[in-house]
Amino acid sequence: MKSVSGKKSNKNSYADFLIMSVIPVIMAWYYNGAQVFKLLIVSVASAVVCETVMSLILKVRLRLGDLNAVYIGVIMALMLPADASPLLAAAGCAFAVIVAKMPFGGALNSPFVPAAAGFAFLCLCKPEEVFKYPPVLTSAVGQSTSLASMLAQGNSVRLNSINFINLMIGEFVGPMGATCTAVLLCALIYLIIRRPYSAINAAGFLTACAIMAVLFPRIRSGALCSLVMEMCSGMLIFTALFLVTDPCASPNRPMNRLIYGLVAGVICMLIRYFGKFEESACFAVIITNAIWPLFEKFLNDKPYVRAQTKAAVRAEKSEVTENA
Amino acid sequence: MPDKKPRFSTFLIRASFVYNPVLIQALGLCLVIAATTSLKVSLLLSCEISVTLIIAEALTALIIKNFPNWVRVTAYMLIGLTVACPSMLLLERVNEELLTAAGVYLPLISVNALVAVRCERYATKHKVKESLFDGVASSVGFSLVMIIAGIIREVIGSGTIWGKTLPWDAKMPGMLLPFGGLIVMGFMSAGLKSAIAKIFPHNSNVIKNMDKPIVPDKPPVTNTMRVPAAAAREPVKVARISEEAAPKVYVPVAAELRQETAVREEAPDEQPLPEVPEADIREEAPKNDAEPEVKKPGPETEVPETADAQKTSEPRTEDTADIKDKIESFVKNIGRRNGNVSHNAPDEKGEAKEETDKNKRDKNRAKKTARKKPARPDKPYKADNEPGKNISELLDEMDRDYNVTASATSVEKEITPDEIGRIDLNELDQKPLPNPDVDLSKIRIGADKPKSSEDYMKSFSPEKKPRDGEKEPAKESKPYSVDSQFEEILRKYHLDG
Repeated sequence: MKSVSGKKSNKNSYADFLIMSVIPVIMAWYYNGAQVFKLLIVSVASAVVCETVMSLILKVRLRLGDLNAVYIGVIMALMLPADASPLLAAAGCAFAVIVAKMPFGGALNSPFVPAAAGFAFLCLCKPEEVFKYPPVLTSAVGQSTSLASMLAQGNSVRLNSINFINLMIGEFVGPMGATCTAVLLCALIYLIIRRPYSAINAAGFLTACAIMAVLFPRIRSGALCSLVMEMCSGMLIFTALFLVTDPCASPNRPMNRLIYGLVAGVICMLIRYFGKFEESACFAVIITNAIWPLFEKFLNDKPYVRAQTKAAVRAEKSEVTENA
Repeated sequence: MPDKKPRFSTFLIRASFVYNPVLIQALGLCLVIAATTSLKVSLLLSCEISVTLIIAEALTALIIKNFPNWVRVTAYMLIGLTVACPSMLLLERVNEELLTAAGVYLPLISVNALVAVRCERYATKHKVKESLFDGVASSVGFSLVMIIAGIIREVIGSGTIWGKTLPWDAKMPGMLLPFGGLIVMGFMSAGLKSAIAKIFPHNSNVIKNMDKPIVPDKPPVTNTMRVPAAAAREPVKVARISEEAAPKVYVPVAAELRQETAVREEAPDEQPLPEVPEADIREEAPKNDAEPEVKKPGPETEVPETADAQKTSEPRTEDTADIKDKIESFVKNIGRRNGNVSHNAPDEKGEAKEETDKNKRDKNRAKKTARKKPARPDKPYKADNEPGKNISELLDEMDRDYNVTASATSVEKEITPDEIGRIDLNELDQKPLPNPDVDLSKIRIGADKPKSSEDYMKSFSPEKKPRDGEKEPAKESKPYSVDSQFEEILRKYHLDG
């Protein structure tokens, strides 16, 4: 699509998300060292190369300027353990671009969130590498096991002040960019200010997860402990910020965005309760993307980006005819 | 041109490539998605299904096609089991590991959709040789897909090829899952379709043309005159009429024309056509500057080009000047009565008169309510909605399009240009209509050959209810069916009501 306004909005969206991801990258470097940058560079480079190659094969215009390839690379790296093999990140990015993005016509038309699809592929192919987290430099809660695996086994931590602070600052094992809850909450505030409509998706997702955690706790430490543990474990907040808000599959209207987030949250919690893997948010996002056209039909809505670009194309055509 | 004799190469390209059973027809997906986890298993299953398919198609073309439907499906399953059971017993003795790797998919071949569908769609309708060719070609296409998918999934999923480990230690076990098979098949299908679109652009809509026979059917019989392409370029001798002939000839387009004009019968065959200098024609009716558009002639069904016809058409006699005057007055009368034709006949200076509001309204209404019929490939001529042409142009157009001045029959055979001049109008119905006061707005066009005036009287058209504000038609005359060739003329001159 050659719509200028559509391209601008996409570029600004992904630029905002990349800005939001800067601080989690800094925290990951603080806790895990320079290997984080190696993983990031390989991940971003593989995403860019794959998109270039696919653009040449499919004979479509190369759209690296919308920063979607960079975004996929950064998010993929942040979802993996810090000591993961760079080939793993490259494989995930290759799947995300080659299978989930380019065959559908690029970021504008992809029905699935490419990063979520790539991570799901890695979970199915190499679960032993994806869910094996390195120890944190400082001794903290759950040095060897992540919070999500503890919850899956029905274990919990005592929610005292020290543990709560450790949970907030991310001194426990988990995905590279998803452990520091305080940073992610700051990113959420940035999202609310810069992208209020996208923040509706995140709000719906987090609300559904919180309600499910309170109503159906997996641990016996109480509803509050269950709420805090569930929200801080795994990639829940990370998914709410970066995957559920992805513009390519996001609905258009605010109410539909809320429903989209709620549906994704419910599915995420159900997979957490009954699924095989300890981390299920990416699967929830993909399932929601797959079933959202049914909701679209019922709600009479179209994805945000497609609706925007179509309106912009129509506006351009009308300008052209008027000038002619 | 498709081949008349079925050749195996055509079958191979068609059944294995263009209409691939897995990637295009989506048959036997279970095997390809779930069972192609290694090259050995893929090869085994493809051999098994090839033998089953060939035997099933041959037997179907020989015998089974005569059975009722509910028996045929069971017969295909029995044929599959006849092949699967001995092969399983043989594999158990030769290579038990391979049998274990194949698992439940080996006996499942007996109920595979590929066998049943190809037998039902093709073998029941064709001969043994063609069915064998189709079986072989389909199994080649199926096997190729199985083998390629097996190679890809084994290399990426297991890091091995034919059981031997590859030098690099990169593998994605997820590709061995069914979703990996679906992804591989999706890419293969997309690649094949893009290749087909490039190599065979006319086959872009592959599924619709899938089961059409390779041997072409007989050419369809059309209801229109045909002029061979070579003859179309030659000048056409238009039939002319002489003054000495008998009075009236049936012209179904305009009954009044037949009454008012002295359309005479054609002279005997060998008489030469009279010559009329062109200047006589052109003086009376000045031509428009813009010549009407004429489409190029096609292979068989086209009429000669207007420029050639105009240049080489022989000039009219003085008798035709009278005819022209009468036709001109007739057209004016038609316009006045129906209000559909605007009085835009050009003056001597060539200036057109202004249309009245009523004529404009009627014209617009006629355009809106005119039934849109699909364009026939045999008729290159399109109705021209330009009113107001002079008579000579009208006659020239009629001559050009239908090659005969007064013949109005639907000819079911090819007519050469020589025959056109020899058409005996006595063969046509020349009886005058019993009711000369015909309301031309009630004329309905039919595809029937005009047989007699009584037949015309029998065919009626449904009455048109007048709209609000419209006057009812003054007199309802019984319409008669007219040959479909003149349908265009009526519509062109707004005579279709």
